[in-house]
Amino acid sequence: MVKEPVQERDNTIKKRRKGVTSSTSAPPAKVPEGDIYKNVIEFEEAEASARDPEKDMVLFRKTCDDIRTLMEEISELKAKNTGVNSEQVLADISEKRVQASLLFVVLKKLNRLEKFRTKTSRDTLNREKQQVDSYHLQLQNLLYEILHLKKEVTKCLQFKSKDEEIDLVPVEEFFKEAPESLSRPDVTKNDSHQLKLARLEWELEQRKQLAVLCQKLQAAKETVAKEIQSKRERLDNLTPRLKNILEVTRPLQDYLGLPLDKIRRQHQAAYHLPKPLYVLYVQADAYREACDPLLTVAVSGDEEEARSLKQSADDSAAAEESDSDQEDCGDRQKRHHRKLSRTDRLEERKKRLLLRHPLTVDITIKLQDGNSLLLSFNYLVHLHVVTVKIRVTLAQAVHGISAGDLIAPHNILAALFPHDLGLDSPNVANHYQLQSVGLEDFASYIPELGIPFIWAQRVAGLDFMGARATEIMGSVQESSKESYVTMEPQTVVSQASVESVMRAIRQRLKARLALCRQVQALEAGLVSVPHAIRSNFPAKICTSLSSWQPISWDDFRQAPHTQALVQAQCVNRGDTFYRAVLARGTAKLTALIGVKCDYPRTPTVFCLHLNWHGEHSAGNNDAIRDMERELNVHWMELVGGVGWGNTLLAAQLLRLMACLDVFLESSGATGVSPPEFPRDKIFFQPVRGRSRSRPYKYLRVAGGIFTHR
Amino acid sequence: MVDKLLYNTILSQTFSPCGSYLLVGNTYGDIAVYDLQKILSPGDGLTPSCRKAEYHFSVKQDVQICSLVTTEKFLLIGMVGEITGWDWKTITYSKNPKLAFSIQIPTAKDALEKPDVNSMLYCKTNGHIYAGCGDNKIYIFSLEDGKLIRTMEGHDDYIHSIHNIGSQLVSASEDGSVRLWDLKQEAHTNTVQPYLSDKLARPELGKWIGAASLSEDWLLCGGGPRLSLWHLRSLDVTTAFQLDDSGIHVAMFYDDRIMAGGASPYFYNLSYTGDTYAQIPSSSISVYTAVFQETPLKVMCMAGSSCKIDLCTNFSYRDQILTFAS
Repeated sequence: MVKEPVQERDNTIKKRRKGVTSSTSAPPAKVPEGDIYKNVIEFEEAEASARDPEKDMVLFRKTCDDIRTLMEEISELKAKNTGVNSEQVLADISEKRVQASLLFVVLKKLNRLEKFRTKTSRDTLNREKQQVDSYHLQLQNLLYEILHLKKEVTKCLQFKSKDEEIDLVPVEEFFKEAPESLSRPDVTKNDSHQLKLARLEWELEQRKQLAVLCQKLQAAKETVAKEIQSKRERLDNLTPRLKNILEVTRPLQDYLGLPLDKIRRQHQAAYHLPKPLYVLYVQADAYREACDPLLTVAVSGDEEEARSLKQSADDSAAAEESDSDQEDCGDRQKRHHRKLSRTDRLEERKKRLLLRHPLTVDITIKLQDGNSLLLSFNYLVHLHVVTVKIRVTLAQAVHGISAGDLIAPHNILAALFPHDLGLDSPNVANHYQLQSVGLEDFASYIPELGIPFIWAQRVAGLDFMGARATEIMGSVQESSKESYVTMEPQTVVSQASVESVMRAIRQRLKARLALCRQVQALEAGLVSVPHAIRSNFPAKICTSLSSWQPISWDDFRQAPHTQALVQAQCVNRGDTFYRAVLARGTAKLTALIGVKCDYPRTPTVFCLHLNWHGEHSAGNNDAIRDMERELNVHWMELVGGVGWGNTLLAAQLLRLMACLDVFLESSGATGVSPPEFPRDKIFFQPVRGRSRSRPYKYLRVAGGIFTHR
Repeated sequence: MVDKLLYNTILSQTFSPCGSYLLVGNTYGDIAVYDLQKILSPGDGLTPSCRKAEYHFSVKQDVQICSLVTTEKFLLIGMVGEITGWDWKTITYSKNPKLAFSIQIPTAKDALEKPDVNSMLYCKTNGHIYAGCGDNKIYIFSLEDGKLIRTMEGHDDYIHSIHNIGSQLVSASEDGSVRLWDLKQEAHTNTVQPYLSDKLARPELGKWIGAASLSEDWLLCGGGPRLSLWHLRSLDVTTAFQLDDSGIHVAMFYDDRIMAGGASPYFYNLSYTGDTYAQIPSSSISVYTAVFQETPLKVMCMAGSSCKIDLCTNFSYRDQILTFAS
């Protein structure tokens, strides 16, 4: 059943094949024989490409099946071929054999076609492959090219031009200064490259100009140098002649009594002064000349020694080095020798450290009344400080222990400026220098070396501690701020302070002499004030000064009633202290008095202690406290007229006596106990207010009355 | 140069109406204002032993400030010859105090000195100011218009202190007497003279009475004579306090106790029978003023002849010391 249609189809294919074969065989008949093969091949190739290989495959299978069925049929027929109509059978068999053979032809054809196809596809494949290879090559080439180009690009980008290193003038300035022809603002404003070029050009131009200028100046410099050289030669030639003239004129000078030579010699000596003293000498001399004829400035000391010291100082730098070398290498050999001389060497080093320069600057400050003060400035070469020795020359001798003490050399200039007591060296390094050779504090050498006041350093141009000096000298400081902590003397420092120091010393001398006279009088038991201010006190004062004696700072500090004043730092170590005892009847008032070292700028401080019906002081009795206030706070009322400072201490003391009178008289008036002291001072009320204050304030009206504050 | 504050004397103190400021006046005419809230606030880590004033203002240079009194709106300052009123708002808020008014104390034409206003009281109920003055008189002014309402005369010397309770007023004077006044009557009702009593007299100190105070049943006074407690109706000395002082300047009742101070190293906290509850060490040589308040901060402040002010919060020991310096 199934085989039937297949058979039919087979037939049609066979017919077609036949048709095809016939059609194919027909045309080559016309072509020449030699080309037949070629033609056939060409035709077959065309056919192979025209036909669908899928269909050919189906055809091939069918053909194979047909052949199989034919074979089977033939074998069947052969099997049956046993006798009966064998003829028929044989015919069938040959018939079928023919059919099968034909089918083989078809198979052959198909096979051939297939061969062709395979060949063509293989060719095509090869062709494609070649194509692909060539493309690949091309691609490689292109990639390489890209890489190369990229490298080139980065090279370009990394390129640095020389002009970037040149510092150009800013653009605004360039446009302002460069000529129009160079700057071409119409182009360069928009084109930054052009702008750059233009700026570079301008730079070049300018540099060229400057180079020319430089050359010119150099030439000018050379000519000037030559001129100087020639002039110097001329001057050098002049010196011997001048010397001759001087030599010749000396007798004339001596004859006429001109001090020219003396001054010159002083100046010559000044050249050998150490730097700080030289600064001091120059400044002080200048000040003397300009402002203060009563001042004398002189150089004294051994000039020869100074010269040799200078010589040795010049060598010392070299010597010191070689010295230390020797110490190292020659140590072993010299050890024995050394042991002997060690103490000597140390002694020598000590001496050398404390060495004073042989020259001193002596400044004498004279007052109108003939009293004078001599300041000898020494310079300690290795400690780098200036010290002062003071000598007071009086027209009139001062007697009395406490009075003399006030103008004693070690005392008179103490605390010329606040805190400047001169107790230790202002050069902090000295402490270590002294320690290294086993010497004591600087303070213990002051009697020998002189007092190292800070102002002495400053007038010599030395400024050790900017900060400290500021508080000491206040306003004169401004200009010297830049010379902060230097060892080299600075003229500015000296300039800034010479005048103020000289004035301060003069004032101090005056004040001290005045104070001296007062103390001298007080020691003798006299309390007197000049007539001009006598009216500030009542005419009759009953209290008297029974004793006056100096006491030490420790005595003052350790007294039981002074604690408040000491703690408030109203008095300190540099001041001078006295104990005054005032007496009236059974009442005894002890006043501990602290005369400030800058008296009378700061008034004297009183601390009172009354012994009368018990012990009274500012610490337990408000009336005594008020009395103390009267002296310590309201002292300004005692001040009046010119020269008040000269008698302030006496005035304060007189005031204290008046106050004690008032206290005693008013106490009698308030208590119910019988008054010991008659009331002879005039006051309206003995006490006033809740504090029961006493009428200590004195008014000059109506013959003098006392009122409450 | 000796700082004048070393000899500072404080005669009066007062609290602001809100209670958080303390005002202190000295004899140089300056008033220091302290912020108590700030000073007493606990937990302040860096408590310096001496606290400074918030600010100062000068009422009148070198005219002593004798008394200070607080009313709701004004601070009254008793000075020499006048009472000035200052608006509290300008003191506590703006630190720029403004003078609001002043009342002149009437003086006799022949008087050479103006009288000090040594002690002042303010009566809230009738709005009157009582001023015990240096001319031996007590003046009563109306706060509303500043007019003098009444003058009470009788003392022979100046008035140290006055105190009132209800309509009863007591005055202590330099003449050694303590006088009791009834505001409804013209003359004084009673006089006490402690210096006449052997138990109380201290002749070396004088007869003056520096302070007097009243309670319902008791009268407290002291000065040159010893501090003493008197029974008001019988006017007998109940207790004579044996204190180590040389003059009493402050005496007051507080909560069944007696507070007293003066020229003594201590401020005393005493019982009516004479026992000492507490001795508070004083920074001043003499205590001239002590003020206390309960609210908003419980504090007592004592000051006198010193630039320091002692503060105690529990009335038995010294907590803090303020200084007048700025």
